[in-house]
Amino acid sequence: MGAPDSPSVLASTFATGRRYRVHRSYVLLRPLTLAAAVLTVALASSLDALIDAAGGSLGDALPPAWLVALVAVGAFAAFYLVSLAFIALAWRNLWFEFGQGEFSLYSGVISKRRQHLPYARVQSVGHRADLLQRVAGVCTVTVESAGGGANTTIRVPYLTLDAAERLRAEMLARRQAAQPGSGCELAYHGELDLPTDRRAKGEAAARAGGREGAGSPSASPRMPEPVADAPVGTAAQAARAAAAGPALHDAGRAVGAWRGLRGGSQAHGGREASFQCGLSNRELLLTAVSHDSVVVAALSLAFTVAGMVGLWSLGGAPAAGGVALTLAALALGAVVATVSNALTFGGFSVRRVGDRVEVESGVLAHQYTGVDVERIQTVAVRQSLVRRLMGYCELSVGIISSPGSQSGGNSSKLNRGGLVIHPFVRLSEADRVIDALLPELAGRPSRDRLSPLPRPALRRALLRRGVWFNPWLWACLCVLATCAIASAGSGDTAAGDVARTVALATSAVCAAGSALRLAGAALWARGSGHALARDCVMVLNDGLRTSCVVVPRRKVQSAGTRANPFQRRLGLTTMRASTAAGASLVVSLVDVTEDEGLEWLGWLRPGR
Amino acid sequence: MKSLPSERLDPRVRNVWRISDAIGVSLVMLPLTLAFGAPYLLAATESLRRALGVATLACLIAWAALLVVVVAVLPPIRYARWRYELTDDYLDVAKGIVWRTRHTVPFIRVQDTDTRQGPIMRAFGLASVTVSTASDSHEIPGLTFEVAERMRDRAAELARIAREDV
Repeated sequence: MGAPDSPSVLASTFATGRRYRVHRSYVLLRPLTLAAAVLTVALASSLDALIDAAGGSLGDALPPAWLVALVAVGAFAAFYLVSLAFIALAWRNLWFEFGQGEFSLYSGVISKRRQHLPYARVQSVGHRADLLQRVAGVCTVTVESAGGGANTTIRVPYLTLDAAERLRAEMLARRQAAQPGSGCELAYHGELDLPTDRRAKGEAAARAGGREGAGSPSASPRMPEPVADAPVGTAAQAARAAAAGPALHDAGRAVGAWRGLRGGSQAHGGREASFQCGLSNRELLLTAVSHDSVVVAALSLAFTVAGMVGLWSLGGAPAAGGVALTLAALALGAVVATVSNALTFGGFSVRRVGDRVEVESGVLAHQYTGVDVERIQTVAVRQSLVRRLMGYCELSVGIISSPGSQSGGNSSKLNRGGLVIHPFVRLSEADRVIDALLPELAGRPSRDRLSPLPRPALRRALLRRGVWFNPWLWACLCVLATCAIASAGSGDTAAGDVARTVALATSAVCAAGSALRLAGAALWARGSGHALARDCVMVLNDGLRTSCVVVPRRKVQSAGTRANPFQRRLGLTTMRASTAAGASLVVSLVDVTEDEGLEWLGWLRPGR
Repeated sequence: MKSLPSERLDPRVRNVWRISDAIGVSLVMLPLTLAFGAPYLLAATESLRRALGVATLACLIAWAALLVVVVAVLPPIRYARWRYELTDDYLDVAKGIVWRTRHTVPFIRVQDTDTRQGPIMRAFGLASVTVSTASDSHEIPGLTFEVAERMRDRAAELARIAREDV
């Protein structure tokens, strides 16, 4: 996109009223994904049967491996070809259009669907690409709108990166032009590189008759001729890499910046970033290692293997081998999770461009998210136990949630608990990064202004986390009761020994877990608190994991307090702030004093 | 800030709660009682008949106890705890018997306001008002029509003049 001719003229690369198709790779790649999924399901469902057949008397009667492979490849190819025909038909009926006042996406072969979104309601435009799309240089563009319960998300699949970037710029320009009193106008600057339907070309004249929304091939408009694909590693890309500083020389960033076969050159229109930062190789490695998922993956795999080893050892397997297997599982889980994290956060970059915060991340699957600052509801500084010991933290923002705006897979690590705007930053540097990215929050209170929790909070925290809401304790009691019943029920000495061993091991694990919870409760009661400034509230929940959330007053939808009889007896209450970022991001602090609770309710009142 | 909001609900709301809660309890307990009571009448053996009889009796006692609770015990306490205050700028709500909650909702955050009136409420000339923000909603169950209308109009008026800040 070129620069605007004057401040009130915005460049446009999409003609109003013209229908644009998505990239042709949709036809080739989409069936591939479907066929792979079907083959995986088929293999998984027949795995048991194959194992049984191989292990049983049927082993000799099994067909040779090459025949099985041939059949699998044949089935894959057949499914691919069949779905190719359907997807090709779907592609012919999938297009988008920039209308006078709204963006429309048409889809469906038999059941026609039209999604439309007025430009004024566009909240954010992002894109993400899985591995296959990355290789092809295409991505799926997500256009989100906000409006209370009527939030919607429109997905435009398989656009080239170049087209996606232009679409984003176009959408934002049209939104700006659609704002009342903006005084902006759109100036059409040229065509876009999107696929042409050869048959549709000859029918362009026929379309002049106007069969709006018909969706049949004959109704397709004439598409512009595609321009030559830009080679991989263009000058624009090199310039971008050079501009972003030495960190971009890192291998992860180089792969993250690769635009794929059809990605085209970087289309940088509009304003420069006022702040930009990323991760060095060392920071990326530490991010990957210190992420929560490493501990979770390692422990869950180790527990699974330990359980299996425990079952086998009943049959007389050596204990040393079991321990070695468990340790190997622990290491394997950690390594796999670390590599997965490195791929998720490789090429991470965050920047502030105008009134938007833009985040890019991912080596294999790539994700770009751009969020209007007005859409940000909360800013959180979070530390896991490992990162707390290291003195580092993760920064994230809570944004207005749209249904279906987040998908699973690796991207969820970037979207968990809001949008991660920096996965690994030194705690002492966190304020500087927030100030640079979100100067709107300059008036937030500092941590030394926090009102600490009253003394009774410690005793209540120990009871709450150590007893009532301690899953370790209740799990341990259940296991102990089961073991006692099992050993009392059977007169077998060996069974009694096994029950005692299990009870002992469970008690040890649960005691360790409970000790950690108690330590966390003590830290929470000592370090937690809240602070009210004129325009922001800050809530810090300390502990083994810490979470410090700042909410601008304008973004607090309602303020609440809630007290149970035990709290009332001690003059305590729980303060809560709900925002439009969703129920999972409700900000709360247990056991503030009743006076502080009343002050909190009064703080939100207009004209206080 | 005052300790509690000043306004109480219309006293007639207690009867609305009594009737609607009694119907709700009965809708759960009636099938349960019938599930034991019907086989009791058809039971072949004496021991099964006795067991089903005890179960049916237990259901009837529980039904009666629950009816006493929702008709006689809870409504006065609930009514005493339910307070609200409607100012020009915000809505203040305090409620709850065991877990006591209090909410402040500025009207400039309100997205929409609904008034609703079921058959029981209509019989008593009352309406409930639901005030929704971008994150949650708060229902005030027993208001006279005039108050409900005033609240809805006020919220709509402030929503119009409020800045679009979500």
